[in-house]
Amino acid sequence: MSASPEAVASSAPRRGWSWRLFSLPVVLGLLVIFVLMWAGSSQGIADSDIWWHLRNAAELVRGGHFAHADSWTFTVAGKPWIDFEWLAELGYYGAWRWLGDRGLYLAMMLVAAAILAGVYGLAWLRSRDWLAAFLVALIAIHFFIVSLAPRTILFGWLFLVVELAILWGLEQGRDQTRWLPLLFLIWINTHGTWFIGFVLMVLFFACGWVQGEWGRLYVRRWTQAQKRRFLLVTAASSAALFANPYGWRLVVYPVAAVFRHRLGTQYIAEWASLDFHAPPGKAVLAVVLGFAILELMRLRRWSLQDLVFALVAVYAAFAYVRFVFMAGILLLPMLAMDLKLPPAAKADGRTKDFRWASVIAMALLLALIGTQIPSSQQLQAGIARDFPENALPYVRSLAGRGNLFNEYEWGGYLEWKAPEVKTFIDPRADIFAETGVMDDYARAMDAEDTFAILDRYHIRFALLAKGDAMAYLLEHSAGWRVAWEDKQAVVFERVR
Amino acid sequence: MSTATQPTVPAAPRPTWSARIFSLPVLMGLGLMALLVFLSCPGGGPCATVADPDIWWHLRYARHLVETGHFSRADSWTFTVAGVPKVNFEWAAEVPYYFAWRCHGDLGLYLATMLTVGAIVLGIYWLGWMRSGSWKAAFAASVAAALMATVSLGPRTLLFGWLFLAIELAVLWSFAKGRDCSLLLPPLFLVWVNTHGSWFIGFVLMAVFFACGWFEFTWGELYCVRWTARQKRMILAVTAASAAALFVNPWGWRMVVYPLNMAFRQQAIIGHVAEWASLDFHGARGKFVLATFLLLGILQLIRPRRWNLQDLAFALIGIYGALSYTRFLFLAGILLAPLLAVSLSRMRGDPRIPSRGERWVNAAGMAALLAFIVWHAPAEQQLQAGVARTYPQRAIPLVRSLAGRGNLFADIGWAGYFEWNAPQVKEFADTREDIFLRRGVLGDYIRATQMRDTFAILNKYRIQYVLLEEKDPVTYLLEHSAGWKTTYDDGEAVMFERVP
Repeated sequence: MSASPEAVASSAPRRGWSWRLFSLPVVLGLLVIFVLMWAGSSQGIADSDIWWHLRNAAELVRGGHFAHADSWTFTVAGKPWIDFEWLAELGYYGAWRWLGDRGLYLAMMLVAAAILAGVYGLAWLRSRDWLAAFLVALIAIHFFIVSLAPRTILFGWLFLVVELAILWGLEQGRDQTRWLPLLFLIWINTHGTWFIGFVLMVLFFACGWVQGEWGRLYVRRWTQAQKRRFLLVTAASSAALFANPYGWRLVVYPVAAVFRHRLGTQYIAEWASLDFHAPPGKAVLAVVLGFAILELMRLRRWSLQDLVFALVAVYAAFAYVRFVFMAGILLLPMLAMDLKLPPAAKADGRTKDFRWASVIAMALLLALIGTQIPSSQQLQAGIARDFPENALPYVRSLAGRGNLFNEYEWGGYLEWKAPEVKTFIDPRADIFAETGVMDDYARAMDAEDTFAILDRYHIRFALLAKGDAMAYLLEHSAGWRVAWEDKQAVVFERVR
Repeated sequence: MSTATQPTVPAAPRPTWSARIFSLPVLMGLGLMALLVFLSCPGGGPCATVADPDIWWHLRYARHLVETGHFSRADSWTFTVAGVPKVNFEWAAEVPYYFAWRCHGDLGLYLATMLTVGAIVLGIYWLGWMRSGSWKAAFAASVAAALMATVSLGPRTLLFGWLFLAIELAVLWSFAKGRDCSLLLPPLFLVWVNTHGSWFIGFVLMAVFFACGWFEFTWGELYCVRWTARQKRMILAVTAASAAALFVNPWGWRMVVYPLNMAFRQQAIIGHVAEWASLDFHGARGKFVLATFLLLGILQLIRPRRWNLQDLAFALIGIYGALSYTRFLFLAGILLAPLLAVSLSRMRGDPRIPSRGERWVNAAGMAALLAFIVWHAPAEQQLQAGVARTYPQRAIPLVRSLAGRGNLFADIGWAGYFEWNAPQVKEFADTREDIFLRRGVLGDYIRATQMRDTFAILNKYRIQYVLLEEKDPVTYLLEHSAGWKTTYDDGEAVMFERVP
């Protein structure tokens, strides 16, 4: 009776640490991270949210207490507000304090690289094939590049990777579910995506309450001991959610955001459906369709949990650009199972010693990764391209002279760079959507009752991007004059 | 010799004519028609089904052709592209709509629309049965297709293209089953090229279908069967004849290359035309379509079946088309519904020959459905109210009075309506997109309505009057401009006149 190749492999003697460290999988992992750094080098740190996150963190560090109400705008000043991402903000703020803009960039790429390495690891966990894992990690970069910026949500996706490692580890017989409550304790203080993670966990556990087989779909029932443990873990995770500075309000926040903030979501590009004319949309569609074709050809059996996760991933990615990143984390490790080569097709390179070649390749890749880190000047140029840097001195001079109407995307930047000026709106979306300010902003920008809205908020100055419909309207209005302008931005002042 | 080695199976009785007519498949077909009538006018009030922005200039083209016997070869309705050559690639589809309108006005347009859509959906139903052998599965899949069809439920020339696609699929799938009707394809393409640019999609699908049979393989649940040498010869002859048939049209090669030209040029306006946009999954339609596609995938997991390469290619084209361009949802319905029917086809209790009692029940159901169709179909007044709600009907006398008094800049969605109802007035641009796109007029229109150089563009074209929706940003701009004054405002449309 001949043993299967897997059996032979598993019976091979365990190698030492140097065999594991200086190995082809680690080289491939570094290669993937290099590709991420190369693809992300043009992204920069010019995200419209990071600035108000930094200000939140700065005030938390300086004042030692959490924000409970707005104090940066004149439109929603004093209105209750929850800083539901305070822990992630501290991470970015620390990086910024340490290395400035480069610190922000490094923090972002470090988290993104950790997520990518996690997907690479998860793909291996599911497929037991490093080459397939490498291929899907390369594909994952296309999914990640959509929202690669210094964003707090990156921490959320990192925790999702950790959660999947714990859940999928159950199928390999390793029960690490005791870490889930701790994970949710950190997650809820970091980003609202904990809610997605919690729902996925509940779905994963719930699927195992039934047993069945339908065609190529199957589900195995948990044992009684597992059921008791999962109930306990779910209860402990639920309890852990309340360990935060805002109590139950932070726990209900994501649900409220889904049901109450629809108004805000219609104005925000990343909440829009995926555009299949653009390269990210085409890439996602190609992967989903390629996945379907592979399923026809490989005849793999699917667990109910995998099917549920895949359906959640496809719906979320198609419906919301923001969730393309999440779809990459959920779907691609499953794709690796279809991409793996049959055992007979693999060359067994384990008997040969490639450690020195691996060391050289790793050193080379680390050096190349270092070259992909942009300089402070490059990062600064990226910021100046997207934000009105030249207008800052003039905007600062407006403090106390009258209300300023500003671009939504620029609000956080102004709050960070010119804190003495109260803004009209910033990308914290929710508080403005709830109070009707977002709606007024959108109507004013679309030349719908613009002058009435400017009057209602007693606006004296307006900082707008050149090319905006509203900028054109004010430019051709007798009641306003151009007070300051450059190629990118224009400040209007009311003349009567 | 034994006479009783095999048990004799009694021959199935042939159904009588009443059993065929008063059967569940016919009842379900009638149900599909009732569903379409309901979807065409779900509210029961003003019905905007015929208020398509293109139909008006289609009618004007057809009237010109019928009255003069000549094709219109250059624009004469606008002051921006007057005299510029125009290929009217849909002339054969415009004529039936025109005659329908001549006979019964808006109601005629509605009937022509519903007859065409009904024929397509019944075609899908039949294709579903042809592929799956199950009327129930075909019905369920056709309901999904009918819901996808709502995206193009109006008097559109495109509908004829989709009708021809259903015929093409019947021919191709019959060919694969050994019933060779492929000689119908060249005349089909001859009619199609004169009817709508979607002939190009049909031609590509035919080429893909035939090309797949040049291989033979089985990979998991995917397989492909090679054509016989005789079939290959037939395919080559039919493809060549179909290609030659494309040139039988009033514009020759220009009409043949037209869809390619549009495919490349269309990129410039994709962001500005709703039906060229990607599917929006926040709306009910997007969610339904995605659920249908995912159901197809789930069914493959729980009821694995073999797929031939042609079906897979068509499914991928259908899904890509529907997700990328809302306009192609109907195409996806036609391509995918019969395949969905195959996946659904293990539904139990498919219809058998109905008993006498069942026939009476079916007859009663048919009578009820027919009564619903007649009762729910909109009256002429409802259709006119729908048109009046979509277009500035009350402004027509004013628009007519502008003839010869100066250039008019009107909402592009209304221009075709004015060209039909106030032909004495030259328009700025209408929804014939291609001719305006080539000359840069569409780009200027888009820039002007997005408030980028609006006044410079109005000056460039020496615009004297502007007629726009009250909610349009440019309306707000002109309202607050000293250079323009409001001369008409009915709450929906506002007209401005330049102040000297």
